[in-house]
Amino acid sequence: MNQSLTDTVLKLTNVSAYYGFTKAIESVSFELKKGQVVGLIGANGAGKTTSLKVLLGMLKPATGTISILGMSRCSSRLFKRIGFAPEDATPPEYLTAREYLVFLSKFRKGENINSVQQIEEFLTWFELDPDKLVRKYSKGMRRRLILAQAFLGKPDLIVLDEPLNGLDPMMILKLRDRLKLYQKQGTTILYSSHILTELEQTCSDAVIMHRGSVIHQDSVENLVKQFGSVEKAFSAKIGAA
Amino acid sequence: MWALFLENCRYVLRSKMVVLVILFSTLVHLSGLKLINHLTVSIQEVVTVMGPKEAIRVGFYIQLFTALSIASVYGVWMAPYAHRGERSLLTHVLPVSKVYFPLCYGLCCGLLLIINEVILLMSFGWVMGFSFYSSDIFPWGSLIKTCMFQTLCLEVLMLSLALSSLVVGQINTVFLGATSLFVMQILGTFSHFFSKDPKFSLFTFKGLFVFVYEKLPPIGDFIFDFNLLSKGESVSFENLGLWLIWWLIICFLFVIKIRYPSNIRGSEG
Repeated sequence: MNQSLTDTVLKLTNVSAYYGFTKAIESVSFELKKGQVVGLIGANGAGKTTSLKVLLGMLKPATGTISILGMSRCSSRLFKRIGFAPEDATPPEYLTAREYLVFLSKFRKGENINSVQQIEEFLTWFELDPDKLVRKYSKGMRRRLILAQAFLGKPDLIVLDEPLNGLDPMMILKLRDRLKLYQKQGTTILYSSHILTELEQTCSDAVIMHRGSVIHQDSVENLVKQFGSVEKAFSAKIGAA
Repeated sequence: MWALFLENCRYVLRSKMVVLVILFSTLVHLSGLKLINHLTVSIQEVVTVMGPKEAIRVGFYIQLFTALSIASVYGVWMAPYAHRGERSLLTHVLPVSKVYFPLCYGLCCGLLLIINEVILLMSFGWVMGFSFYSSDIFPWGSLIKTCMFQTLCLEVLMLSLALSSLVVGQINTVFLGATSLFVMQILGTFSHFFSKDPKFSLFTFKGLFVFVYEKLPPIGDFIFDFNLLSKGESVSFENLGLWLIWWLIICFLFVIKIRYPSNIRGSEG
């Protein structure tokens, strides 16, 4: 079997989607291979979040095909292997952080993962008060809990939408280290953000989106070599588009 | 599914819904039954003293009012909680089949309705004495049948309100739901009169009206059926089947709606 095909974790081909009659993304195509950390870059309204929603089956694509972990449709079986941290979501407010992670671990038990041990490790690592109700959490703590649940159960694919929003600088540094560790262990990460300096340090590849379309896809190394930095590459590509 | 159901039960407990149901239901049942039992009614010099038999019938209707309130609150506010706004994205990626959600909500609402029915039963004992349960006039059969029938109908109502809440928002659902119940009751009454017309034919306006009405959830017939059951009589299997079919239809629509959470209404109103 072709090695490059077996390594493909996620593939979007010519995907278009609408919100009502408004076209949100048009002919979006990109691919993620095993162990890649890909940054989805774009200005506000470029179609980053919509692309993530389409690939996770939250929005029906009008055209195109999506393949995730060898499956063509998002199913409950597939979600056992995916961790997702949405941009603004609030976990159920009547639960404590520990209760929420224990609840999720019942569904997302990965192989050889001791969920109790992992939950306690996550609660400490993400600096969460385990027995405090989410209702009483600050915005930053809620954000950390959302990120913690995305990493729970050692998923094969982690999708992060603007993960740095609301995080303090220390947590941003810690998160960068965690992402690098997961990448070394072979986890594929799709990372949507508009903080380009952070993406440059975290990601191996970048997909630049503008007005609902992918306008460029390359490795971060190449972009830095060619333009000096991801920020400059982004400006140049947006300017040319 | 078990984990999801337990999680819903925890939500019901932590939101104080159970405490409120117990307090509200006890207050309404006890005060209603106490008021009715031994009440003396005088109409045109005919004096009637309401006894336990009348109190039971009234108790059934008091219970219907509290059960309707519980199912409405659960349907409009509690069932859609995990599927509204940005939280719906987290719920969507839960590795659990979407079919389990309406089933879990149905079970949770069913538990609340059972609490309400147990309170009705206890209230009979508190007001008329606990030996009343073993007396000949206590209608065990009609009580069980009425509660089962009512639970099925209220499950349909609860899930319809939850679905509507996701489509048009919670405030709109309250008014839309109340208006629909009112309109369906009126249509039900018309349908009863039309079908009794000796000149009734399917190929007239009245005939067409009855034909379409009979395919809708029999909300207009609900009070008629409830009344029959509370008197110990039976209801038509046609209506029972129709309620069951509509429960399946609403379940299916609910699953379709939560399948694509990006289209769900996120804000209030």
